[in-house]
Amino acid sequence: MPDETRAEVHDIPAGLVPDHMAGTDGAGPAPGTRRTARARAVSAYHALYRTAGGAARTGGWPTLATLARSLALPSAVVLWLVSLLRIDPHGMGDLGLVPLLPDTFWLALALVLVSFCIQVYRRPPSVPMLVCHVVTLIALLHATPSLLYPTLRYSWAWKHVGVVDFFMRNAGVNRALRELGAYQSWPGFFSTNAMLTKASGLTTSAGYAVWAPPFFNVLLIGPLFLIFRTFTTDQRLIWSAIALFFLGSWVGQDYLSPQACTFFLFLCVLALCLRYLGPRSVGAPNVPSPLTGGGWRSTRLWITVATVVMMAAIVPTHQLTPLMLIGGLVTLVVFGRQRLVVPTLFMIGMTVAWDLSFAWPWLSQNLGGIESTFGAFGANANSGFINLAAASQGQVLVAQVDRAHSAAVWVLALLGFARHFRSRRELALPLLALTPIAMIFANDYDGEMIFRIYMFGLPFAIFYVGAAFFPRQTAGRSWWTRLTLPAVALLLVPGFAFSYYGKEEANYFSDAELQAAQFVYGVAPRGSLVASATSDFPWGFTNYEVYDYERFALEDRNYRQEVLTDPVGTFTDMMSLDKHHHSYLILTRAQRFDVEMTGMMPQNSLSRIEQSLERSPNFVVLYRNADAVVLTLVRPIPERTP
Amino acid sequence: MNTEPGRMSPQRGRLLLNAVWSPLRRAPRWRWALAISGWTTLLAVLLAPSASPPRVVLVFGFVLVCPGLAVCLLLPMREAVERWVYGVALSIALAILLNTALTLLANGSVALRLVVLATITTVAVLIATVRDGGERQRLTLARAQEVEAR
Repeated sequence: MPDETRAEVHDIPAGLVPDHMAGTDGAGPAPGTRRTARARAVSAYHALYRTAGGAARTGGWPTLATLARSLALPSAVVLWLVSLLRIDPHGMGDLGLVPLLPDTFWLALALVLVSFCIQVYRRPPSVPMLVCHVVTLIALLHATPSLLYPTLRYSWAWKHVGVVDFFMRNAGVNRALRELGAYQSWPGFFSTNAMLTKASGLTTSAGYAVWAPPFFNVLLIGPLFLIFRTFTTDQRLIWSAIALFFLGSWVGQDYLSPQACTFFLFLCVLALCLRYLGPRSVGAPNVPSPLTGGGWRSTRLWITVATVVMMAAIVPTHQLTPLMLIGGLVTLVVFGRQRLVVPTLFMIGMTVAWDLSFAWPWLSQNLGGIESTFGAFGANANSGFINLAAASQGQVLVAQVDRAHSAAVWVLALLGFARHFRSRRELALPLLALTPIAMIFANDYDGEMIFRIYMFGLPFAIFYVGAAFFPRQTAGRSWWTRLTLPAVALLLVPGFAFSYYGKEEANYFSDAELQAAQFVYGVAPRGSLVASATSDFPWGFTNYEVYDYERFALEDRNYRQEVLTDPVGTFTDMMSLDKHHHSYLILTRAQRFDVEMTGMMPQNSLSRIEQSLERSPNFVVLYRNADAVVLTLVRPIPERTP
Repeated sequence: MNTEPGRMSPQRGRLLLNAVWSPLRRAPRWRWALAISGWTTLLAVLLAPSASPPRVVLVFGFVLVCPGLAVCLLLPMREAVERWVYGVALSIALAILLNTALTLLANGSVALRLVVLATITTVAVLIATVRDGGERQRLTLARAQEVEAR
């Protein structure tokens, strides 16, 4: 039988296939029978087209509704690509990318979401089509800046490129480094990227770092699917929750960073634990262990080994994720998941061992700061929020929207929990959603703890946002639900857009800003001082460890006032030859926005400082373009002795 | 045939060889491709021009997917999708562990890193293939005995 025919035969339910066509007993291909790649592709195409359109099955012309369904996704992609041509990121203002996004972009997003909801309600839902929708949604949300911006987005991404650059040039760690010293104690992610970059023959990781946000978000689909599937077989609930997760996940820790990588591993570890090491395993079919041929004991053993390997990789990669994972595992153990005792003990042991050995030099230096924030619930909870009284108008709106957006997600989750809990009393997910909150007692994590708590709790809370629409297998068929799901998804779009894209004026760097930074790193000799208002520019991407850095806008209020009152005197002192043989002050467009949006300095402060220094005979402009200026202290010429 | 104590008889040796070789011979092509993926990548790193697209794709594709996927063949998984998800997770985890260990030992060799990952991949695929072949053989025998008994 030709492969194509066999592929089509396999698409027909087993009982309907005549024995002679199926090749064996009518139940599918014989063990060991292999279909060619072409046959598989034909089969997949038919499966996709049949579920999308229905025309392949009927053999007739597709109806208008079928055609509309089939064309929704390609149309959204075309609209999105058209939008990209219409956006000029250089025109960004106080609300970031949001006002620049044209109607076609919003229309593309709306099309994807409405089409997704229609696919969710099909009986049965086509999983390949749902995957295509979620991937398109991720592309729209996270690949837009990657395609739009001429340079790598976000200053921290540049720093991480710099740390990768360090490990490309150095075989080992250097614990004596003060700048970005923590990365020398948790080098896992950076050394791995250094290997990838060197093995590929690339000179820097900046090229592929641009694609990190869509990459890491696509990766998350897998563990989210597996976690949700452990608690329900309802594909509508699973995929609604996954799509809503990407609309709720606005914290933006998806750039080239250790936390993006360990977040994926964190979810994979919990997926393994929940699927194989929880009480639900008791009712599941007994999968014999492949190596020993034994039952559950050996299965658990091998799954535990896989879990420990992933946990071991998290420990030397990121400071916070191990603590979040320990919190989750301990909570599950305490609330009756005794089978997780061994992995939990391993995780605690590995984390303590790493922190007390390799990471101890850094931890001991920073112990004072850690102790001072321990137990300070209120201060830790508020430290991440910007001061609304001082922030710019646009940023006040962005902050209010992101707070409302997060609250809305949690309110929906509570509603879903109430509806779902009546039919299924499962506590693992609510516990995992709430456990990160305990970390607010431990530390403020440099003002980011509240956002990290939201991030680590979201994958579990979002399940209940989906459950608000589909609390039971039999529920969620009413017209009310059919309307509310797309309505809620569409309402979450502006919330996500403001929260994620609202600070883009600080995260976007023009070519001119990058050129100024490249100029500084190109001319500055080893041991120079690189001064700036904030670290919000492409800094440290090469040889970062050989320079000293000063960020005057991040200093205390008195110092900032001193800078404003007497810029020439302050910078002459900061950049004096007694301290550094060469000093460079770089002021850029993004830094101006950064100090103004957070209210660190009054409006136009950086322009005034720049003008004062330019007028002073002590300073000279070394480099200038439309978005940046580089100044240095005039070097005194030594007197000639007769 | 009499053999010295402690020495394997030729017949037993042949049987053992057959038990190992037979599943390897029947293994699907993708398993062979997976088994040699690391060595192909190493070859590309040594021979292909720097930053050439095939080299970049091979390096990223191998390091981020193949070692974990090979190890996943050894794990008892309920669904095919799990092999891919945990395959990528284990690949990343193995790469991080290896790189951290060698970085702490101040060893910067990229070739050594690729050789270790390629060895893990090949060994895991071979073990899984031999084991699956043995299991399939046992199942076929059991089915044949069942048919005979009827």
